[in-house]
Amino acid sequence: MKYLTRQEELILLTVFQLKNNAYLVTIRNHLKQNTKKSWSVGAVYVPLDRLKQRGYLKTRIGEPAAKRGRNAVKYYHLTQDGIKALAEIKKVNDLLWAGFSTESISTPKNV
Amino acid sequence: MSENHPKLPRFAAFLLKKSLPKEEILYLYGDIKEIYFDLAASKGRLAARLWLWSQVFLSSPRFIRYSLSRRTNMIKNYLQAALRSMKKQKGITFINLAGLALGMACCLLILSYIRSEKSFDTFHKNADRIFRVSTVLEVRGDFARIAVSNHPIGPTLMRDYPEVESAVRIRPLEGRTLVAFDEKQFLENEVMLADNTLFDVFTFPILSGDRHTPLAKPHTAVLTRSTAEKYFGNEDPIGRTLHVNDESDFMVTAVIEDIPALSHIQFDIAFSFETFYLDRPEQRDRWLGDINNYTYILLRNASEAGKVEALFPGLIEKHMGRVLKAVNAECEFFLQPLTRIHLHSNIQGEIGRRGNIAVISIFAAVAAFILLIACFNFMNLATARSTQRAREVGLRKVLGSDRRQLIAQFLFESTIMSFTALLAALLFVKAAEPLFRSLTGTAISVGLFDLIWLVPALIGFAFLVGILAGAYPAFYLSKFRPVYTLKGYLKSGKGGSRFRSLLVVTQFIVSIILIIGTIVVQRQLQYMKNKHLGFNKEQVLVLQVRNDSVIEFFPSVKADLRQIPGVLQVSACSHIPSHGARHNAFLPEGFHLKESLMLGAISVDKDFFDTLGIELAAGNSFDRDLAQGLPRAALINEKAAQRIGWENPVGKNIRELSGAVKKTIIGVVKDFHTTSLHQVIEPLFIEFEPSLFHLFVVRLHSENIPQTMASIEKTWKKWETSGAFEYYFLDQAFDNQYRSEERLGTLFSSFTLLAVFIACLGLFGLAAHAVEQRTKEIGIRKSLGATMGKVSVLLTKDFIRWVLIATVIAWPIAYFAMNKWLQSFAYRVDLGVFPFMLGAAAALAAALLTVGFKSLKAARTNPADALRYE
Repeated sequence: MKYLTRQEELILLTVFQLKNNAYLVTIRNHLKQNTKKSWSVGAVYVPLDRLKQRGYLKTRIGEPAAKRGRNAVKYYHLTQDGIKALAEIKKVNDLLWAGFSTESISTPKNV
Repeated sequence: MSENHPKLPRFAAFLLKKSLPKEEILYLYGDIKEIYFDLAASKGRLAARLWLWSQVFLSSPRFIRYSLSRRTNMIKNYLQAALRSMKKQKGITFINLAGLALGMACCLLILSYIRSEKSFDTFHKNADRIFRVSTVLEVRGDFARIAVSNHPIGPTLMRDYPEVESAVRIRPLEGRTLVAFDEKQFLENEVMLADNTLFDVFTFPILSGDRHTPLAKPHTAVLTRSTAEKYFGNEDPIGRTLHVNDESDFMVTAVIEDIPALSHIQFDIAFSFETFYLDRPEQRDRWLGDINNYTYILLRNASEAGKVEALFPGLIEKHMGRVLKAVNAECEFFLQPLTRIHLHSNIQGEIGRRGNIAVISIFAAVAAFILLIACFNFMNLATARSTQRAREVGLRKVLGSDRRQLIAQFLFESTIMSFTALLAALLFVKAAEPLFRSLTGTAISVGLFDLIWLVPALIGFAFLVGILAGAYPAFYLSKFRPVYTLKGYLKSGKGGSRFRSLLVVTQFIVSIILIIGTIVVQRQLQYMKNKHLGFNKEQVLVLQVRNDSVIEFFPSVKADLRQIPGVLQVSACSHIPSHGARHNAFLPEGFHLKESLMLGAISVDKDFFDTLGIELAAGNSFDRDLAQGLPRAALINEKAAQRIGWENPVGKNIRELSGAVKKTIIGVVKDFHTTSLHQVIEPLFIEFEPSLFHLFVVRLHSENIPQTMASIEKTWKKWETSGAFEYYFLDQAFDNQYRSEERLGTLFSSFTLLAVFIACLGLFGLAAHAVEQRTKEIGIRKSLGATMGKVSVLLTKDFIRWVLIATVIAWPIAYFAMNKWLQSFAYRVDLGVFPFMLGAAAALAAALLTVGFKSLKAARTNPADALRYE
């Protein structure tokens, strides 16, 4: 499996967190809250679309809403492949994070 | 529309919207609006505005970059489709590529040749302001436009008229000049006299020596760099003395850069013009004297050429009016722009390698034709294959490609092909360059690879060819209705096949015209070489005299040469056939001064006619080789007798207008050619004037020529004190006059061959396709009892019909074009039917061969195999 970039990974996780309400605005808000960084629309859309091209996400077209100037919403959902990818990331991460705490690491002196 | 929401600031929204991917624009724009409205509600409009603008700068680049990367994906897909279909039909792809590459290579070669011809003489810094002063002379109806002018015109213009910045006269020396320094001596071909202003008018950079007045004084010389090296090696040539023609000394005052090949003025050594006036001071101011100089003027302003030309009639009236009126002659001067001389000027006395604008246009047309043929091949094969691609097109359409995308795809495909072909063509060009150079006889490197400006031009060229060749298939294929193609309804369209036959017919029209042209050119060449010239040019040796003492004792020299076994006859003369003659006005007996006639004049001894096999029509030849006591005798040719209007010229008197001596005509010779067959035989006056001799003509026995030559050399050197033994054969000299026609002939035949080859390549591809399409039909026909012959005829029939149609169209065009070309020869072959028949037959044979091969193969296959096919 090809590795995802950090942005792609974060976005994939966010879509998972938002369940049925994942579209660009909510994803961006969620990311902003959790990363404490600003995300431009493009910075969200590009990885999102790339994940879709790879088959990790699929889309569903929602109803137009007044607050969007009567434009339709495009919701994103995880596919089976997307879920598998997240599982794999989690497995690898768990292995590599094992035993991590800020205190447990001693940097050698005299370096 | 939005109830209580503020509107998006227009400009920022516009910019942002432009950058969004098209397919997703609605959703994304909605997302942006939602965020904007949220922000506006929570933090105020200013914050929202700021955010929107920040997105213009932060998001737009991302969107644009992203959609670009998506587009390369699409191109990748096109490339893949193209490569797959190319791979699937390797044979046809190869034919396509080879044809296109050959066509392009031809086109590039011809284009670079044309470019070099067009850039002739443009290297001079002031090229656009330089003009040549040429002369029109009219003596009693004999009208001549000559490239030379008299002595005073240049200096007068420069001195008296402010429009003329500078003027220079040059005068190439006739024949070869013997130049010696110490022990080293060479015969120089390219020697001329020139004014010091040579370097003001032209751009011939002075490398060393006197930079301001190198040619101001008599007996000074300027050498080109390589000539200086030839004589002086590494030593400094400035101030050294060259010994010229065993009689005078010239001091080298400057060395200049070698003359570029693209210059119509070519010289290795220039002597100062002032030297000329030491012996002939009277010529300096004679308006109607010696007319053998080439005068070039540099104007202050190129647009004032008309103004300067308007000055000429006044000048002529002032200086020559009286004399001209007395002899009933007219004289005019006209200006020719320097850069047009090479290609456009074709008047008497031109110097340098001459181009021919007609030949250039012919070549440009041939280049265009060949490229056209190659493009037609491409279009033909692509449309022929359309059935195979139809399914792909259908599927693409079903999957949402619109027509624009499909057109883009096919154009992309053809452009890839044309770029591949271009690469191959460049290799061809590189390989064929030396061959092409020898064919065109130019010393100019095609130099495709040295020219940076050509890179964009070549890319543009490839695009052009790609689009030209791909346009029809692209529009044709993209038109297919997906439902039909997928259901398999599509047969190769009727429109498509009509279009294809049109292309094939056009290709063959071009091929047949070229074949006919080639045959006519070759026949004219043969004719010129074999035509009876009125003299026998075989086995005639021409010896060039350097030292005047040889002439003084010419009867003894002749006698000495006659002693040599193998020498049949010897004669001394001033001109040999191919040299032409000197021209002057003559006054026959009983004619008024105003009725003088322009005649060519040559001077020969008594054995001249015998040596060259020229026959007498009436009277006698000269009977003695002694000037003393000989009656003032002369001969004329039949043409001259006719011109003067004498039925029985023997015994009549004639006198040269500028001389006082009356000569009596003792005989008439039959007409013989003194110049190439481009020109009509001119009226000729033949006198015996040993002071004008500078050639010996020797007729040799055809056996043991090397031995005879050795003896001649030994004898010759006894008399020629300069030690120079210069000779050539008359037939060579005569044939050399047709070198440009010969070149045209070879070039024409090679391009014709190529054009026919490319056309046949295309035909072969089409035949292959046709056979493939009809495999089943052939199988069924054969199993039902059709013979091999019948099947081949069935397959070949169409192609033959096309060639026949092409023939009918090609004939009148070829007739018109070749008739026009032949007009430039005074003596020419009849066009006849032969070239036309042969042209058609050759095209038919080529078509039969290519198609017949393929259809025979198809006809011979076992029907069982054919029916199992698919």
